[in-house]
Amino acid sequence: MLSYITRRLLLMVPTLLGVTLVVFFVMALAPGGFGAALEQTGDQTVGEEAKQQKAYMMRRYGLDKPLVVQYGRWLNQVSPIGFRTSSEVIDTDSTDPEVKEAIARADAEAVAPVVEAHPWLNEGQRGQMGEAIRSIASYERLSTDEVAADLSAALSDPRGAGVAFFDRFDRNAEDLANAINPILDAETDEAARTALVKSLNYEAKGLDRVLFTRPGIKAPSLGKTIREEKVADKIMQALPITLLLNLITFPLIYLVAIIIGIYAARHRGGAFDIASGSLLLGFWSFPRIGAGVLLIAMLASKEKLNWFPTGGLNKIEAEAMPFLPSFSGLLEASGFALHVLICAMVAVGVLLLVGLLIGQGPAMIRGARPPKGVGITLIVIAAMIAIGLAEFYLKVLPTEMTDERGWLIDRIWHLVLPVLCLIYTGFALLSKLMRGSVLDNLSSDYVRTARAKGVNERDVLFRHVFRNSLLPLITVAAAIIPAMIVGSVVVERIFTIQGMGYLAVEAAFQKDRELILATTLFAGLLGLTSELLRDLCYAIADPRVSYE
Amino acid sequence: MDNRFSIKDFVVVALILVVIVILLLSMFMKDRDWDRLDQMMGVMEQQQQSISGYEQTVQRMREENNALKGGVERLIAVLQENAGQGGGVSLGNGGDINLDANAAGVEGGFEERRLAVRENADFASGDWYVTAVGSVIPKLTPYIPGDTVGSYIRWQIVESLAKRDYDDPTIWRPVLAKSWEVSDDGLTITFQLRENVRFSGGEPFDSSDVIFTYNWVMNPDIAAPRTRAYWDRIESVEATGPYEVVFKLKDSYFLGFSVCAEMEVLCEEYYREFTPDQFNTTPGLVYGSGPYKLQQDPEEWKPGTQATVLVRNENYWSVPPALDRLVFKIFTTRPPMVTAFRNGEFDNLGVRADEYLNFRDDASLREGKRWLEYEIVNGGYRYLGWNTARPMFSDKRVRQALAMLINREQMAERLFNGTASVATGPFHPLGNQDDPSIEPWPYDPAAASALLAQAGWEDRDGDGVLENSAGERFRFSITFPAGIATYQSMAEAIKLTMAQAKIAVDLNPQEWNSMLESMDARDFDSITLGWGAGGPESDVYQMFHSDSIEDGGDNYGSFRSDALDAAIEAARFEPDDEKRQVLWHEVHRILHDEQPYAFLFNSRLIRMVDERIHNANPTTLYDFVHWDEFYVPGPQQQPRQ
Repeated sequence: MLSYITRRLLLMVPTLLGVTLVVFFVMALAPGGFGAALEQTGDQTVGEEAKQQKAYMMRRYGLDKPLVVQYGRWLNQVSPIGFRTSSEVIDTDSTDPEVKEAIARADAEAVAPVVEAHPWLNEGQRGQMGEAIRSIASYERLSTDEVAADLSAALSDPRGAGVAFFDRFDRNAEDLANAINPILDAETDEAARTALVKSLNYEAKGLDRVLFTRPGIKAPSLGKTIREEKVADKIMQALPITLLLNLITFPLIYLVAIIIGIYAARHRGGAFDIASGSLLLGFWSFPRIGAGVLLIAMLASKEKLNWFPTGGLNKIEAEAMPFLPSFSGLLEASGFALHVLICAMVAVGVLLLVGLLIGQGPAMIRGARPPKGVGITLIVIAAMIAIGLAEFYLKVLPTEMTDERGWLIDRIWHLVLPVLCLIYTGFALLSKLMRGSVLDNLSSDYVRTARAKGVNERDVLFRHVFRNSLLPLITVAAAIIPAMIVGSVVVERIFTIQGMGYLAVEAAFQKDRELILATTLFAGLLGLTSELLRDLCYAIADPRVSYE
Repeated sequence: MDNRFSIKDFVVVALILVVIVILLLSMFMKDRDWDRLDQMMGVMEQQQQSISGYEQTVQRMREENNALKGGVERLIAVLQENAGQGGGVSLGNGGDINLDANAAGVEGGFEERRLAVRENADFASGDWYVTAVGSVIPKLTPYIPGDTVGSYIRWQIVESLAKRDYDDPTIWRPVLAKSWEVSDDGLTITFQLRENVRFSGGEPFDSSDVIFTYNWVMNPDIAAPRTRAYWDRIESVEATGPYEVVFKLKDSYFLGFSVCAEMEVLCEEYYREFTPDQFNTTPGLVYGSGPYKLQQDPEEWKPGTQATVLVRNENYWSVPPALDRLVFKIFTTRPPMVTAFRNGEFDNLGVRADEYLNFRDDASLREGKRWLEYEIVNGGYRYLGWNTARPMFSDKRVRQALAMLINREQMAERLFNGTASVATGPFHPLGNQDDPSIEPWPYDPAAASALLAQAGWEDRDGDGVLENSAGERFRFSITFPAGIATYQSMAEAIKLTMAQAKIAVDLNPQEWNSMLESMDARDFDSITLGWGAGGPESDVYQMFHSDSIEDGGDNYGSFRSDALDAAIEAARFEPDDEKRQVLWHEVHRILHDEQPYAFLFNSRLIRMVDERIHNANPTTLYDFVHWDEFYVPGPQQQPRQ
């Protein structure tokens, strides 16, 4: 088993490479290529400054490099084994003051010979030169003294040695000219030197130069977006939200679908079977966008029922709330408990009513005698729903959410509509699958044998049929998980929730290379992992399957 | 012996589970409480520091007060002595105390506007102003490119030396500056700075902050290439005193003053703690001297769908604004946004052209809200640009005739439901650059046909399409951004009216990026788009000067006219305001006559604002960003949560 898992994990690597490669080139070769966010999008354009900005960002983001190089760099960047880049040398992510201080001390030491030769360097410029020395020394594997000597020479003679110094940087001629021209244009030597210090520092750091001399194990990084945010931060912010949505949605869908599937199979051709089948198919065919907007318009609008919020994950004030509900007294606490109870009652009541109508309705219409207790059940249900509706119309429910309800309740309250919107399409496929497979198994030989032996029907169903019928559901789980992420793209947009789906859409709109590749990587990883999990679940559900 | 899982077992298991979950949750809650406590301690510490700063200030003021008292006593003594001697009291010409510190041509600061608001009988402090934003705000950090909403928010936090008045954009009002002088050639600008300004953490403001800002942004490590492109016109910035800064400009470009005056001044003590890389990558690093500040620590702010909240800057150096908070809620989809507005979750909603009729007649939506229709000077305009490199469009008469074939009045009415007005040129009628005497080309198919005939376009073979003498048919395509309904319907309307004049038009919708490529390659017949104006006085060099044809300039239509080139050059470098406006009028006249674009529409803006927000009137300059001047009368205060 272990070797099987290892093999599968190793196989993931080339698959993921392939996925990102395809996505990379499709996006890069589409009209406009990467970096659309650098342009003004929409219908209005602005002039010269936007162009300069674009040119600068192209270089900063590496969009001026050939596509293959761009992809190679990205691979190197995300891989834990590879070459370090100059930006990692310069910008350590460490916020530890000791580390920073040590770097500053080393820089000051390295820059001392330069300062000696050029006392005019002010404090800021000394710092810049220190960074430049550190960067060049680590890139070219020279000692800091050697670099410092070269730098001194460059600073003494901006037009000669200074310009020559730029040849060290792997840049194309046009960029080089752009860097050098201001120095040559400067009217005084002092201005030229100031310009030189600035440009040298900037070019030396070069931020994205790959240190080919130093292969090794390094920290993988997802890079920065065009807007200069760390992609990893963005993903860490978005991923938990999408996971939360899907972790709530999944078990709910499976639970409901399995129950409906079994029930429909046992009463095959009955009213419940037909009614649930067509109802769920109806749900399945209704688009999420429409459902989301409808849900908001019906359940969140003050003109209709203002039970739930229109969007977001929390109220603005939620951060200041206590986490759990807190109450000023027993009365408030019991009031709250009552609200929760009534909510639960309404939900149960509606479910019971639907079940009763579907299960017994057609028979009763045909004139059959209703079974015992139906009358009482109906009365109970009616009472529940009446209490609930009264409650809703008195508007005591979530609309009046106060700080007392706490952060957690506020979050749950905000999640109701998005989860509802995610959930309703999933029932059809799974319940039909479950029904079909239960039916298959019920008509198989071993069930006939079991029945012939006199095993009671309940045991036949749950001991024998149930487990065997779960297999197809496991199979489709792998297909559904990625589909859920796609679904959450729509839901997240409608309900203004910033999850992975939202991020993926943003990335695609802005054609943000690092963000697109990172979301692709995560989506791919998710898909492949769920496939692996599926195969492992097979082995657990079906003893006949083994990977030894 | 049946070992079945009974109801009793289920209840027990459920109870145990509930207990475990509650335990876990309360552990989490305690943890969260500790975090919050930590934050509060940080805030307390900060406040303690600022309090001790205040104590020092108070001490200093007390000393100054004593000194002043002594001086006044001495003065009184001297005066009494003088009176005793029978001489008249005169402070003399030499000792004239000039209370009006402002130099000539400088109006009072924005505090005057806020003071005027405070004089309303029903003025009260308090309440929130909640705005809905249609997309995630990507950045708040100054100078790093973000979006418009982000910069509007930033203007409440970071202040500049001076700003244009919202209602009359020709007036500059001082903000951090007290007054200024511009040399006659317009190349040297000396700003006198205010001495009583403090940043929101209590740090004093002086000329070193201005110098710091300039040096900080000019550092190539800072991802602010766009600002640097503007600031390239500044030759040097020098502090000639703790409260005096001199800007030297390279040329007398007409936007030179605004480049200097609108510099957003960063607090040196705050920003120097950050490396350029941190500055670039931290999205919410916005800290300044303005009337509001971010509710949370600027380093913690993240772009996202959670609301952005500004709270009043308690240390504000000037007249404080009335509203306690400005809240920006994000709604990424339109229908939920409208529903939330119906619910009263926020205070104002910009209405789009396609919603205009529905919303105007929706009484329940408009209840309790004011309906505003207005134009702003930097609203931009829409146009149909001709590729004048194509032979058919190189003739001025043809372009004029085409302008007369577009029924703009009717399009404004039918397509934009009256939310657009007919444009006569690139300058907005509300600004001074616009020559008000210019009338738009009328819709006149007969005159247009005559002009076309003059230019050699006639229907020679009777097939319903015009031909020139070489037998080429008058057929062109309109390129426009695909998927934007406004442009689609505009192009269709133009196609229809052209067909009536026997001109064949093809529609060529293109995806935005492909469209940019065709524009760069000058590969189109005509193009319909919009230009946004950079400010109340905009430059047209990029679009119409012949220098902008090459090297990817924005003169996509390759329009070339020596007279226009000369007029644009003259106007751009004329330092005198009034003379320059006359020159711009000349530019406008030439453009109107030459018609390199068929200028189509200026947009009108429509907005609904909650009635309880007072003084929320449209201004000429920006679209509703003077939040610091809004207020809610006491009895009506009720924050939207």
